[in-house]
Order: sequence, then C-alpha cells, then structure tokens
Amino acid sequence: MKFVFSLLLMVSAPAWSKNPILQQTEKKVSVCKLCDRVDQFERMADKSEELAGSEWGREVASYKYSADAKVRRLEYKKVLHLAGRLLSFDKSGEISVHLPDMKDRDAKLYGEILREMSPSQAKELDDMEKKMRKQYDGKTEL
Amino acid sequence: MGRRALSQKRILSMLFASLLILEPSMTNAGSWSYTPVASSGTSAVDPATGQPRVLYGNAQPGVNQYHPTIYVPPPVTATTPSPTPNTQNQMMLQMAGAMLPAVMGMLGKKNTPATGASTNPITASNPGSQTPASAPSSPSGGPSSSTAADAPASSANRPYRGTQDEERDPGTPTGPGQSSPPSGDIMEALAKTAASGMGLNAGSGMCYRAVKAFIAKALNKNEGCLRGIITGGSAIDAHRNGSLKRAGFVDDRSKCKTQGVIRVYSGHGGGRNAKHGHIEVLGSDNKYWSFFSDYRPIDEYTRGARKLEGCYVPDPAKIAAGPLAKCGPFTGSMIGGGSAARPRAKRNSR
Repeated sequence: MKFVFSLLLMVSAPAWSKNPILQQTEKKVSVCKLCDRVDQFERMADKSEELAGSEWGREVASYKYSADAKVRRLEYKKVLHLAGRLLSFDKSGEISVHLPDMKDRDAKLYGEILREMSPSQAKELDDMEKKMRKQYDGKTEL
Repeated sequence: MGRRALSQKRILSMLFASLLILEPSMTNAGSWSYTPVASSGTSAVDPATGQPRVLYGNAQPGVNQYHPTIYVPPPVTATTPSPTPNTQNQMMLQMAGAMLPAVMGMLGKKNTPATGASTNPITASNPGSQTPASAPSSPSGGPSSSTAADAPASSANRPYRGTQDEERDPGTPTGPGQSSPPSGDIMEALAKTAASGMGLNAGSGMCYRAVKAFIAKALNKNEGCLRGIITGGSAIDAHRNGSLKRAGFVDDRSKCKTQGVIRVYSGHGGGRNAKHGHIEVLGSDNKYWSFFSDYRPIDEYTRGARKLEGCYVPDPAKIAAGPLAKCGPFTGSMIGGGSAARPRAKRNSR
C-alpha cells in the first residue's frame, strides 16, 4: 500500500505543479513598452484607421522615448511607421506636430528610419514635419 | 480479506490509471493571458442596464434578445422619410420650377443678370449681394454681412466654403453700415458659428485663427480689424496677453460648459503643442470646435496634456465700449484659402 501511495504521489506531483489554476504565470518582460502600445494601435488600425488615427493622436504627444539607443531605435521605427500610416486620419494634428519634436530629439535616427521606409510615406512624413516646423516655429498665427 | 485486498488494489490501480490519463490534458491545458485588449474597454454586458451590448441575428434588447430567430417587425416611426427616387424627382421638379423665371428672364431680356437675383425677393433689396452661382471662387468673396444666425447647426460636418455658400436670412440686417453685434445672445451666435464647421478650413494646428474667425463672424466685425485687437500667434496668448479681456471678454469659470464659451488651454510635457496651447469654442452641437471638433474638450481629449487656463464669455457692454466697437462689419472670413489667396489682413483699422 505504501508503495502504491508513494508511487501515486510521485506521479501526481508533476501534474499538480503544472496545474493551470495554481500555476504562476510568468510575465513576459517587454524591452520596449512603447512598441507594445504602438502595436496595439497597429491592430486597431487594421480594423479602423480613422478610429486609430483619432485615438493615437490623443496620446502620441505624451510619448517619452528611451535614453537607450537600441530601444529608441525600436521606438522610432514603430512610431514613424504608424505615423506614416495614420497621418491622414489625424484630425487633431497631434501626430503631425509630434514629428518635429521627434526629429529634434534624435535627428540622425529620424533620418535613418525615414530612409528605411517607403519613399512615398517618407516624403509625406518629411513634408509634414517641415510644414509643422515652419508653422509652429515661425511667426505664423496659429 | 483476500477479496477486499483485491478490490482495494483494483480501485488504486484505476485511480492511478485515471491520473495517468488525465495528466497530459492537465499539463497541456495552457494558461490564461491577462493582457488587456487594445483600449477596447467594452464588456459584453452593459453594467448600467444589465443588457447585452452585442446581440445576434435580429435580436433586440428586451424584446427577443434570448431568441433572436423570432421575427420582430421593424418599429414604425414617425420620422421624416429619406428621399426616395419619387421624392427626389419631386425635388428636381421644384428646383426646375424655381429656376424657370431666371431662365425666362435670360431668354426675354439680354441685360437681365442670369443669376436670377432680380427675381429673388431676399437679395433684390441688396444689389451688392450675389447668389452662389455668380459668386467668385475666392473664399473671401464679395461683400457679405451674414451673421452666425445664418449658420445651420445641421451643417456641422460640412466644411465651411466661405460666405458665398451661406443661405441668407431675410431677417438679418444687411448693409455696409451694420457693425453692431447680431440680435440675440452673442454666445449663442458664437456657438452656432463654431458648429457651422467654419473652422475646418483653418488648417491643421490653426486653432487660434479659427476661433478669431468665429468671434469676428458672431460679432459681425471685420476679421482683419478684430485680429489687430485679439492679438498673438499662439492660442495661449489669448489668455496670457489678455487679448480676449481687452476685446471685452470675461474669464468666468462657472460657464466653462456653456455653449459659446471660449476655452483657452496651456500645455505641459514639452513639445510644440504644449508650448503654444490650444483654444476652442463649445458649439451649439455640444462639440468643442477649433480647426477640428470633438465631443470632448481638449484636456480630456489629450488625456491631460492640456490644462484649462480660462473660460471666456462675451460681455456685450464691454465689447460695445471697447476697441472692437470701432471695427467695421464682417466682410468674409480669411480662413480657408491659402496664404496667396487670402487677402492681406489690416492689422488695425483704428
């Protein structure tokens, strides 16, 4: 009997440890939290670009970029790609005016990411960045 | 004893076997993910009403939500029917009938203007006014003294096409000498002007320019003159420089949610938008209008990236006694066209 019970315990122990109810789910630590957030808006844009453009415009102004160059590269890549996609759906102009702020933060990286993008999207972003810079930094009456 | 021991062994072996069978399914049961879905924020059941948000088939809440296959006849409403082909034909006929006198005039008299202006009792009294067909394509068109009362609230989503598109109200006083504010509440006029969609033509980021145009039209003041009084390039200047106060507006925080109020915001958190702030008018459609519109004020819209600095309401007595009183009547808005098409603003006509 003892043998049987000990055998039973030995067999059931691994099953118990892998019990989905008591299992401790390990949280996947993301390197780039901002990238995850942008990915969520990418998925939203797959459903409705208009809604995603409006919603993303609400929070893009508050984005803070990482001091780590590698992480910042990832962030810039994600943000600029989504900006290129949603620029025409940005009714509040928050995405547009965020472009010169991004360029001021890291002009070299901004240029590199733009060169990696499709020429049409890169041109659209570049033109908008210049327009916004002129508009906001010049003597234009806003 | 032997039998009992045997049955015990059988039970244990069965238990053991069942565990062996169950174990793989338990280990492969997977785990739950608690990652929130991208800002969807909706649940299947509305907590307020307890009714399901999404129903299937022809299900209607409270009618057949649990039996969606049961046929529910469509509700009969007394709303105005949408234009059907027949009503569209009738509308076409009415339009043709309205145009007939003008066409007849063209055929009969060569000197009669083809616009039909002479036959229109509204525009006949004002020879300077033009019908949309004959108006120039420039956004700041010919002389016009239309006011905010003209702007229909239903045209909130229609882009503002300049003064020539507006339907003229026969009750609105016209004429070059007319420079006093329109009858009725100025705030109501401001709310209606904002809701007309006029600001959509100002261009992205041009909130202050759009609001200045709203004020000029609502007060029936020359926009160039008004811009010489309500000065500043950034929206926050309306508050910090005291531009609105100088023009006769009062900062009244109790009226921040009243239609027609002018809300001025500062920004924080860095960036150009934060530096320049924002300004908007609560329209008659309950949307907050500048160069764009939303049902949320900008401080809510940008999730706290803006801070409300002032809620300005017009004081008719102060406006009448202030520098705006010397401004001429509204002659068309300067927003909408490009800088080349836009007439040069007279900074101050005083």
